[in-house]
Amino acid sequence: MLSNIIKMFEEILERDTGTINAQDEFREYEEWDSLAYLSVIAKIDDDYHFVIPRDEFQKIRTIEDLANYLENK
Amino acid sequence: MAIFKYSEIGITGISAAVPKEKNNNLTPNDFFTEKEAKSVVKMTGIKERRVAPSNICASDLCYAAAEQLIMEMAIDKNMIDVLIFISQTPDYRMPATGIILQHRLGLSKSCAAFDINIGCSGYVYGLCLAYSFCKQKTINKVLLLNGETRTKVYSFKDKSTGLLFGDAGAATLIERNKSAGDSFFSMNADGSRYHFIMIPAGGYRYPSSPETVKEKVFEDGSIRTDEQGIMDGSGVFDFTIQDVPQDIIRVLNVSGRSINDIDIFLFHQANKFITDHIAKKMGIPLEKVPYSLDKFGNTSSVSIPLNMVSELSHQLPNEAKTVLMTGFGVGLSWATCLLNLTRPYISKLIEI
Repeated sequence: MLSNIIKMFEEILERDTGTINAQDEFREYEEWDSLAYLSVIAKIDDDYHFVIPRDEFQKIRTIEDLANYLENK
Repeated sequence: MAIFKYSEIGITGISAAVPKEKNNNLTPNDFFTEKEAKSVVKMTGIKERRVAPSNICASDLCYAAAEQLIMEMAIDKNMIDVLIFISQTPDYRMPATGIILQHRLGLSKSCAAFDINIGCSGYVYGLCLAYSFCKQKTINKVLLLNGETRTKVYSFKDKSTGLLFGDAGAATLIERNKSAGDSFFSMNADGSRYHFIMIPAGGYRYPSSPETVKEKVFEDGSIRTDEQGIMDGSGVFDFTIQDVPQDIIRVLNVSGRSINDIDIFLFHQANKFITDHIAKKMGIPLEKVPYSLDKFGNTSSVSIPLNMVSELSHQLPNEAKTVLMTGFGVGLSWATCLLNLTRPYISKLIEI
């Protein structure tokens, strides 16, 4: 799961492989904006058929948190 | 459950009018940086919008659309027994703008005329009501007018809404029509999320005062007054990708049809990224999903008929099509319908 989430962020933010780490707080990325937010929620909906409610997404801080959250769904 | 079925009632004509003046979202301006404007265009697909000058109201755009439709179809005005004006940008708080339009259009005094205050779901809500009137044998034709001047609602200096909206008006004629077959409608409401899209002040809950017309600066740098519209974009996004697909499925189930039976999907034109996502998620081929929001922006309840006039004016008059329409937004309110368009008359887009 974690590697899938990292790959997803690399694609959405157009970053090189290896520049996204599990402990990163993704909201601090320079490329993080509302389009990135929509893209992440939409991609998760495509891949896992689940829309993360906004108030739950707000509690997720790091890449790893997101992977753990999806694993527990 | 607000599910409706009608038989042998259909749309026989559609027209739309837009203001001449175009605003290109990528034209440099003092408020949005080039990067911000490009990001909005990329995310929404909205490149250009039509902006009405101060002397053109939603009713004027509807009047132009209706006059042209009535003239070109050679409609006897005495046959129009109901006029429905759907808008959240009326001429006055009172009287209802629809009544003024009854007179301007020269319709009979025994024509019912009124307004409905509802936004992006308003085309489907209006059609459902028009179809229901047409079940009465005493009603010959219903004229549905959808008009909005949303550029006057939102602040151009609002980061989340400044580049999204456009102005337009549309006229649709509905009447009994044997070739139309069965039509299905679903209408929904969720007032718990009323604050997602709203104009906070200027009504009777928070009346207009010198305070409500003062510009305020917000955390994200947006500048607006309390009498201008606000929108919680990510809240609306959650709503759209969850509730809208469910409603489409409900209408397909009620009608016993599948995605493959539908020739054209007419989504409210608000955000191409979101509606493309819904289409992909539901297995709707993108070539069945026409867009005109690149040219006109979000025109609220006008976007569906405007899309037909702009993108389908060659196709619809020549070939019968089964279409699914879905409108969603302010309220929150959303509605979906499945109907047959059996070669309606489509006027050429009017610019005033």
